[in-house]
Amino acid sequence: MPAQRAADPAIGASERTTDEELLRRHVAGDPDAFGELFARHKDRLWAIAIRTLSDPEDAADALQDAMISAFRRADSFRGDSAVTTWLHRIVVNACLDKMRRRNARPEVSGGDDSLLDAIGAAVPAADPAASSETSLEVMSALRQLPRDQQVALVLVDMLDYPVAEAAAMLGVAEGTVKSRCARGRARLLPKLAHLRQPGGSVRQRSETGNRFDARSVLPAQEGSDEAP
Amino acid sequence: MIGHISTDELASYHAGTVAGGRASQISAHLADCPSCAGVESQLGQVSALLASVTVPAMPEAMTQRLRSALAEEVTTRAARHAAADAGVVSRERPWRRRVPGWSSPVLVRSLVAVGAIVVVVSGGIVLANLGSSGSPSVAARQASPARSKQRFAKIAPRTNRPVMSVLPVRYRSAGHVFKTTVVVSDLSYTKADLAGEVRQQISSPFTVPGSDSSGSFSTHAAQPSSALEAVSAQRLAGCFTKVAAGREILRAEVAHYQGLPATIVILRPVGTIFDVMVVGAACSATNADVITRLSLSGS
Repeated sequence: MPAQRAADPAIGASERTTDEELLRRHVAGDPDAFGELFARHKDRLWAIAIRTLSDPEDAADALQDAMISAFRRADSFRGDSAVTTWLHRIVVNACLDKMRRRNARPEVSGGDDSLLDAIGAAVPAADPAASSETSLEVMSALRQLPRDQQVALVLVDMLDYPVAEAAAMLGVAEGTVKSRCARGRARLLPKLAHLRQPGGSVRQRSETGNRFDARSVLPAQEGSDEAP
Repeated sequence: MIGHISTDELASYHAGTVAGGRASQISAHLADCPSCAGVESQLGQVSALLASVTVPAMPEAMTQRLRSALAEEVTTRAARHAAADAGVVSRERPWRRRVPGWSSPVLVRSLVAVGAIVVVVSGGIVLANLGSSGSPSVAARQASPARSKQRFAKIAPRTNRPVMSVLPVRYRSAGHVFKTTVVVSDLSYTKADLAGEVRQQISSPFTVPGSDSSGSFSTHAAQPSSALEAVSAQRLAGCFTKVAAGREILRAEVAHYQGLPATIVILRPVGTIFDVMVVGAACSATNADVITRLSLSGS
């Protein structure tokens, strides 16, 4: 059965339609195709936005910018990557853009209160663990890293994207992603030394004599963190 | 034997970016040095900690908001295609964007027919950050995207004048280049209803992203397809630079005022006061051609 479905993508429910086909239909004028594509990937895309930007309002803006851009630019998709990678890349770029702007203009407008309330109320409900102390501390430490390192770690360590895919989303070499992750982890190490990790028990290790932060972590250079 | 290895280098090794001979050295050292081996293992735990941060599904409010935004896109596209099929639209222009909430079919005509411009300048509150891919402006920034629709719908049907087009315009103010999207509505405002209409628009509690957050008229935006429009856009650019006078334009609409072509400009508010200027068809970089102005309290 699965083989048949694969052989004839036109048959059957929409979940059997490939992303590429949905995008093609969208470009051809199908009014529902893009919405379907969005529904398939929205949670992953949201995860990227909310974890790179932290602020729900910013994440919402970035994701909306990205989706509208993807909607309008769909005909420029050339198929040299998977549709998901393409979509993710647009979202990642929108998030980076938002981060840059936020840095340029630190004071952020208040946002629409009712929306913030709605999102604020929805987040804990959907994800009680997100506000756990550990998660909050990890996020807070992460936010102190340079942007590129943050994004690389969110994609690779937090959301478990393969390095190659993260590299494709970011439009950089795989080595660059690895290097950013490495520098980011080295920086996070002393900041997270006190956290016990579920199952792995970071603290135990320090109690058994391996001080977690046994040596000073080299102050990572600001600015370029590219691989050599 | 080599000495202790820095955390940075261990991290690189751990990530697989240390090459050949050096990697072998580090590997050998780790076998003999519990301290360095401990750090390497802790680097792995950093990854594990990051992985332990759970990731929420998209909140329902957000899903709804995005669905609304995409639905608007679908509607716009369909209307544009229908218009093109019907031959109403003579020129397909990539920059033509749907104004969120303006549900009327977008008919493209020359701007000559409409000489007047309404520019509303205010600050803090975004009435319509029109046409940007960003346009988190209206629909996006509201919990209830239907709101913007209602707001604009009240105007358009009343006069039976559809929004004809939108036009991106760049202008200078306070040393910066701003981009705003002018709505060409062909509405007729009157002295009696101008304040009410503007007040109705600014009473909605949106906050505004900066005008530059609108982001994305592509470069096509600067290439109107007819000379007439080029002139008009250029004139508006000069006009806005003159009218903004160091402030930012929140919203501009090419329409009629008291039966005359006019542009209504709402400026980004200073405090809670919205300044609204109605300028005539002659408005340019050197002559604002102000027909009337008013200040409204946005609170």
